[in-house]
Amino acid sequence: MREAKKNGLTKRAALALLVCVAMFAAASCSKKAEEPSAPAEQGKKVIGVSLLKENDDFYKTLKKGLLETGESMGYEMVILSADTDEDKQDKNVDALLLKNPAAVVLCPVNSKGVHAIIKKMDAKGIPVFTADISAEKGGVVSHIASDNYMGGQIAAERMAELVGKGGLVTIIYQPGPESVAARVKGFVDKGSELGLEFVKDAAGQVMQYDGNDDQQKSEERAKTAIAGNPKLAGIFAANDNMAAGAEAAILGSKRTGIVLIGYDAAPMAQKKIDGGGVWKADVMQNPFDIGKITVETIDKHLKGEKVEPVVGVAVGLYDGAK
Amino acid sequence: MKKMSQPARFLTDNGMYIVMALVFVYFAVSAPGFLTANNIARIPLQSAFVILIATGMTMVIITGGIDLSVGSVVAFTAVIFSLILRQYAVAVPLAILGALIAGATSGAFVGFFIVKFRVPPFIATLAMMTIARGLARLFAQNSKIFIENPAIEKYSDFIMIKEIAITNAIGVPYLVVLMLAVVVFLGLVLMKTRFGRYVTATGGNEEATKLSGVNVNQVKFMVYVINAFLAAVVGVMMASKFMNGNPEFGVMWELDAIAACVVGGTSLMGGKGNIFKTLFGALLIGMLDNGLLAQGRSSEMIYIIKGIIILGAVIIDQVKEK
Repeated sequence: MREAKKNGLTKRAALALLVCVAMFAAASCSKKAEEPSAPAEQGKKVIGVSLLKENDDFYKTLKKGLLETGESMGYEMVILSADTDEDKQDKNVDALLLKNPAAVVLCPVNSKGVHAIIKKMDAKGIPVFTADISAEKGGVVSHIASDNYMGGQIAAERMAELVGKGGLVTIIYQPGPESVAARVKGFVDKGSELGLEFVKDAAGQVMQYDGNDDQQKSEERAKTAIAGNPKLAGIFAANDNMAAGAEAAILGSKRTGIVLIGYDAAPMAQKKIDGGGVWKADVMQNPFDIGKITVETIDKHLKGEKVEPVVGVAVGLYDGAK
Repeated sequence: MKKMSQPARFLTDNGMYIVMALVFVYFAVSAPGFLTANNIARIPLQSAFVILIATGMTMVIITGGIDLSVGSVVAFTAVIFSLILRQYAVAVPLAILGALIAGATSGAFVGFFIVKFRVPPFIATLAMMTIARGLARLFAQNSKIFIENPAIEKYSDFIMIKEIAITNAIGVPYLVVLMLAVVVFLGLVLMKTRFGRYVTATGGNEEATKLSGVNVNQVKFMVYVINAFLAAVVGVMMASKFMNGNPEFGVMWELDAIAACVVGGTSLMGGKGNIFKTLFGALLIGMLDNGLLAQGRSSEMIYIIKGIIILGAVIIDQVKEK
């Protein structure tokens, strides 16, 4: 009886161990099947990447751009994700450094604090590049991101086509992010050139309504703008969240002839634009190109060519499934 | 037959260590750079935050409870610490004290409802998990609180805290020393003191313990306070390391801590557990994180493989129970 029990124990223990080993083996096989090129060839230069995250469309596409371009240029790409967690980004970098990378790309979780992580590369003389999100401090060779100024210009061009020369337009923005400031500046510069009229504040400056990246607040600000300007013909919102608020305000005002251009072309925005309402177009970033140009910039730097400290990536316009 | 039982007992008694050894060998072979002194030494450092939480968690689980709130408490206290520092540049000890009090208070709050109103620990701490996360976001106004007052950076107390969080003493990072000190202290408290015996007795048989004159309510209350206090220590360290209080710190850390306890043989039924084994459970999880990153795996694969190994390590432990 006792012996039988112990025999059973032996079997169960062996089984449990077997299960563990099998699971682990299965897990590692599945990985090999999925990424055949992983740590294979020696001699290839390694580019290590710590993405902000890899579970949204933007970063998935950016990752694809990095991976495809890097591999076609003969680099071994090691791409990890910080999952928007600073501590994980720190661990990502520790892991990347094990591979003796020729260069490291960061999409910082925390622009202000990332220099503490960048120091680890500096100590080893490994060049650091940032993609999409910049680092405020720390030795970064080059920052590759969407050209937000160009995005604002493209929006202004389309706005001029929609409302015509002399059309009165206004802006909903968010104070703080440099990216938003560049979008607004591009819009105002190009718009002035094309003869758009801007709503002015009491001091005669171009009025910018603070939507604070908040849909509700943007709706209120847009209502104020519409009520105060009977001739208003167009609104440019510096991102889709604020554009959604502006759209609600335009629809709520029952006024016709006010058009809206947003920024980012999120799926929700694309649907609205496809629907053919007041929301006419969106500036669209090219995450694939951000990845591609990041690798190309690194390649140039490693070959000893000079690279710009900031590299802008062209943006496009989404104006419906025409 | 009798001889067969020896290896069986050995396997089941040391299941976690065997899995650790297998995982270690597997990474040593498959992950370039894993088997370097630098990298191996980094694993305790990378796991230190979770180990600190898991130490308190072990005591909570031994009483038959669970604490889902600690990850949120890390964020909450990191925000409190950063807020006080930003506001009053010269009061570093005050900021630490404030954060530790905030942590202990949230633990006391949870303990109070569990003891006085018989709220199941799962529910009480689930509530605190969302409350503390909400408070962190509220105080940080949904942003991060940056510690960037130059007056603080010169202040020696702050430099000291920051040093503890990031630098090394003769090859051993201070954070690891602190972590080991806490583990040894609470490990001995649990095994050698009256309070420790009460903790185990409460989880083993609460009624009998109560009848023998032990104030089980006080014991249960205390373990939640201790756990939240340790979470606050981690919050201060995180904020110092990354120079900001981010309300998104510590997401899912409570689950890593619970996993470390369970892998270390702590019974979720209560009454059984050992802080030193929890340490090894956490190191196993830390080793998985480190090795899988060193292999350059994507985060979704890391989640899956980690889950499977945790399950495997616990299966071995369960075999012994039967």
